[in-house]
Amino acid sequence: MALATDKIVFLHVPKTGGIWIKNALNSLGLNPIEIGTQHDSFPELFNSEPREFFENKLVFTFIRHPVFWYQSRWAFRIKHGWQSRHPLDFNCASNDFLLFVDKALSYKPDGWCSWLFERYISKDTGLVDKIGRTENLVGDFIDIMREAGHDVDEQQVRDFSFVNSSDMDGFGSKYWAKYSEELLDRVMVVEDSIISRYYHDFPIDPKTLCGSRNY
Amino acid sequence: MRILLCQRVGGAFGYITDGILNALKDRGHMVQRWGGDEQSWFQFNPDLYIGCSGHKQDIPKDSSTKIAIHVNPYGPVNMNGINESRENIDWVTSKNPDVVFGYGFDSDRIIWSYWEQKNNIKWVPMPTAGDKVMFRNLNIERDLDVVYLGGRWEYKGLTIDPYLLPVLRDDRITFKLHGWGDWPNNICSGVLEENHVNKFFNRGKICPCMSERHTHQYGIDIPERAWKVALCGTLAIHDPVPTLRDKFKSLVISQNPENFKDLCIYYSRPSNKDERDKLAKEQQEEVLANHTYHNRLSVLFDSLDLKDDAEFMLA
Repeated sequence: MALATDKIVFLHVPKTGGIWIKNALNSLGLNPIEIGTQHDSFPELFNSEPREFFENKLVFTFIRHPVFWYQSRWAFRIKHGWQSRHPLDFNCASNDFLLFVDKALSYKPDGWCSWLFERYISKDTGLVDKIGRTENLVGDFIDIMREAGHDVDEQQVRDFSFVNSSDMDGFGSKYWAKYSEELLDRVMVVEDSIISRYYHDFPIDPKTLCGSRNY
Repeated sequence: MRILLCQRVGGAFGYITDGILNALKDRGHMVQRWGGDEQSWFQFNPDLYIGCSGHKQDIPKDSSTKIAIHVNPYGPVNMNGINESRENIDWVTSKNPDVVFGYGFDSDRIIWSYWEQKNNIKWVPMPTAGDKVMFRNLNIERDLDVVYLGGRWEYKGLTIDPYLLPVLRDDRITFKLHGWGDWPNNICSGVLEENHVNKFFNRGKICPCMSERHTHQYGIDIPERAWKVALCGTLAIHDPVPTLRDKFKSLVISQNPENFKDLCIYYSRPSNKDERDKLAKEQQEEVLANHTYHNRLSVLFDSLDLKDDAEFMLA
């Protein structure tokens, strides 16, 4: 669901740190209300609240670099199980990361991430004011909250613990999900729509992302 | 080769080792079930022993025999009730096997990865398969829409109840179900003797292929049913195991209970016979090419450096 206070609305793109944001909003005592179902975006949210409700608040969401998003999404499903009702799972499920990504890129040749994120950040409704990056989750969140007029204590926010729901045996998705260089290149090409607009300044180091699998 | 197999036990492992035994005999290997008596082991003098962590046998110390043991998952994915117990891990390790194997494909390796990473024992992907010695198309009249053979109890009911029962309760479907366990009234026609199973599968136009909840979630432990019925020329329609899509390309796989029922009804209709027959033929050919116990044992032998035997399994 989207989360709203008197000043902000947060749209939760899957696997972009939304659970941390929900916990942060609660820990800050802002008592956000829930709107719609977990990953609703516009126009579905208009079924729950009128357009004016959103126009009077700072609407924000977070996106994630596609190379990291695929890692996180795969590790989450490996840990918690595939969901055949979800089209990405039904068409691309594999317990091998390279196969999963390969199938995802073939299934959605113009980029699953680009398509998914676009549903949330589209300028069609003119309602999304800010887009944060999961790679700078805490900093971007603080900036957005302050811009919205919430007076948050930076140190308090930085002390909130992270919820790494894709971790297995103490290792995160970047450990379990290793790319081949060829596949990494394909992700960069297929997901160019998002990467060129929001991550053109973001360095990707193949040395940390590629390698033999740790299993 | 001279091969000893774990004693015949009940449940899935019993049927699976029947398939293994038939494939080995089909390729001229001397195979016996082993009851656990040390003297009979040395009298038989096996080249290979195939055992199971869930049915422990007191394997004698015999450096001339290669050891392969079926094991459950042991890796970073915590599947409560499915992963191997600490006791079994220790028992398997103490037997110093040449390899262990599990009901997963190579792409499922992460789920068994700690056998190699933590215990230094090679893991071999050996999913269930079809027994082509036992199951084949008899080209008899398919007088039933649906055939099903299997057990039902609480855990299996988690998937059988929402998927299979609505199909069987549809007035448009004729069916016969054999099995054991706790089936609702008037559905199960009782246990079927093993020598009648092939003919029974051949009576059906389609077979709904049910798996357990952890198979839906993690894609491992695929039941034998889909491979078997495909060998019989009966169309296999599987419940949602999306990881099967690239392993068994002609398999009909549903997305949810409603879709499963729709597919079962659609493919059982006389008007769709041509489409059904074409798909069933493709399934049979795909299983014969890639998913028989001959295929699986070839992989096992290869992993044991028995290259010639591996090749001969597929000859």
